[in-house]
Amino acid sequence: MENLIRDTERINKQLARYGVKFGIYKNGTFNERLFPFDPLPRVITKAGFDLLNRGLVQRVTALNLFLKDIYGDKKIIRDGIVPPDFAFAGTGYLAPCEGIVPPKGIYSHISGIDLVQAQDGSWVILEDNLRIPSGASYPLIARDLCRKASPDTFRHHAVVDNRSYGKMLKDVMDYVNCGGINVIFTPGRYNAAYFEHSYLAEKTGAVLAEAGDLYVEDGVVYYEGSGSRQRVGAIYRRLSDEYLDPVTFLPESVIGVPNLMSAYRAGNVAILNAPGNGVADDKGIYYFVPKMIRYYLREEPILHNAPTYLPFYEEDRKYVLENLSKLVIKDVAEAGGYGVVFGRDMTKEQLESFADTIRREPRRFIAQEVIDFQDLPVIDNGEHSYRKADLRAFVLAGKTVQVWPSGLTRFSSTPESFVVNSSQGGGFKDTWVLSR
Amino acid sequence: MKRLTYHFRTNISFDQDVTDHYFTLRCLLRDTPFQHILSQTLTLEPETYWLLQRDGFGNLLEVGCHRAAHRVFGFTVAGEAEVDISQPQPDRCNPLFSYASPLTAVGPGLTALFEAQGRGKSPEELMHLVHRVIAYTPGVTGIHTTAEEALALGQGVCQDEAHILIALLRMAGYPARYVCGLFVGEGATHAWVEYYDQGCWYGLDPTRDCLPVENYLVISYGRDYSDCPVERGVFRGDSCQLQTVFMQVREKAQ
Repeated sequence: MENLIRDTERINKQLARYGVKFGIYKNGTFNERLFPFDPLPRVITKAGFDLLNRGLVQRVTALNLFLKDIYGDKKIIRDGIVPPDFAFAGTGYLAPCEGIVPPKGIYSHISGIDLVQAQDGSWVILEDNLRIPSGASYPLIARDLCRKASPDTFRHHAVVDNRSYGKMLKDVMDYVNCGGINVIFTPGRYNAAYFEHSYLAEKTGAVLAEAGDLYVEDGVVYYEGSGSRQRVGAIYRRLSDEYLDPVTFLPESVIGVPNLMSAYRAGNVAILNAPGNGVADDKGIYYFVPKMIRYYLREEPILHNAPTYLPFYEEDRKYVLENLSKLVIKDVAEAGGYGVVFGRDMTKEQLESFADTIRREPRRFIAQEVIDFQDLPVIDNGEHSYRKADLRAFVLAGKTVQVWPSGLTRFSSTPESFVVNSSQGGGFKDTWVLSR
Repeated sequence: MKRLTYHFRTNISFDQDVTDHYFTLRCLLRDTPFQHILSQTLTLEPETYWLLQRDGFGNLLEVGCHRAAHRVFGFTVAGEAEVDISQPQPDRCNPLFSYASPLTAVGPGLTALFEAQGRGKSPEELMHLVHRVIAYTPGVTGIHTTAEEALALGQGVCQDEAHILIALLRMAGYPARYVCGLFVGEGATHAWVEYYDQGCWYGLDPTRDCLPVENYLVISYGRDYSDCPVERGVFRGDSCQLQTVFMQVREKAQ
């Protein structure tokens, strides 16, 4: 472990060389910055991981069933479990996906579930990311560099090898592939996560493609790089739904593939993750995930949500308005740690004006109790310090649903900050799952 | 029962050459419980291979790409249909038509209108209400105008009146859908509404303030306009485009 700490600077330099970076939009300008690595890993015991594993598999299984239901029969709406306002009035539901059953019926192939650990050690789910959750490459490459820097550390600790991610991802792509090659479809090298796109292509043996390399003819997707054209059977796309196909979604998108949806509709290509998944992962629908688990699986949720209130319901609204100063309020339309405000940080006037906004647009917000989650130790300028940290667990759904025995642990930029999203500064750690 | 022949042509002309023109059309007419398409052809200019698909609402999609340089892109649908609305036809209803869509979402204006003049009214009376509150005025609204915005303006075209009526019908508890189609005569495409009651769909035309009879032809259904675009396309080339539409529907002598 001392080796790792000693070598932190060297590891960070290597990460920089590899281009492990994060792009941040702040105040209208785009800045790329390195994502600092902290050498002290988050350690999850075998028993701890077994529980997480069962809970996450259960959650992602239910979310996939929800997506299938929403774009199909909509039983959960008819049965009154999820109010239609939360499913159809937002921007998450995409009508062009109505009635389409993706290859093998899987919608969320790669799910990034964000959790924190409460003081008593129990895990709490903060957010589901079912669109294009990023970040798996950070612990992968960091582990790789740590192994090189300090092979002994891994000889003396029973850490589950996390290099399986490439294989797991390839297996998922192969399983849903409709005939043809696997492609990782990137918006290009100016994208903040371009490093990850190229890294995952290398690890899975998939072809890294940009918009100009792919085209659709008679409902079939082809890749045409330097050589002859090849049929494409699965696309792990790393651009969001609205840019995917300018003939179906945003017409001004120049990074998409025109008529891609026609190939998808025809069942000639798998798109990972399926377009339209936003209907299942916005902050409003989060509230209903435990209900989905009971509804589709007839099981009690193994992992719990943070205590959440929906001002949409009168009873909850009353509670939220009375307790605004101690709650954290999230705007359901925002992502990446934006639109999150803590009641305790607001002045009396701000609280009052915010209460008015909630009364006016109750559907727009959720409110949660502030969770006192565990701090993790970090090395800050050579000294031990503590930071708030979360865990993004990666759950892969192919032939079976599996949790990658690792994950991205992110920590806040300062000891005072509670926001641990990489868009808001801060750094990351490796996540060790012990094998015994 | 009536037999109608139809001819529906859209022409897009470009002032510069364009290439790699990808398109998805929803211009072929579909079958409905009231409407049986006897024969139908689609002609593309320039000649282009196209693929026939169906979307989640059962509408027909015509998908293709013309790669070579061209300055005109035209598509013509011609066909013959049998229409019979003499009795209600039992049909299914996608639960989606019970819920608001982005263009038909209910805001304060629609709520106020419904509370003041819509509550307890029949679908037909709601149609009259929409016709009264919206002055038919081309050019003030666009394809992104919501029902709430059009109502605030008090002006709009057939698609705006359809959106407002859909919102009111849903508030009154009726599933409702947007209809893009044609009617007897000459001109452009039209939009109206169908609502679902006791297992059957019924039409309402708020723009012409009447119940559609056997001179209406359905092209496509959706929650609102955005689900029923007749033409979507992208192409390569820096060009201005001009679109003209011509349609003609005639009753065929029996």
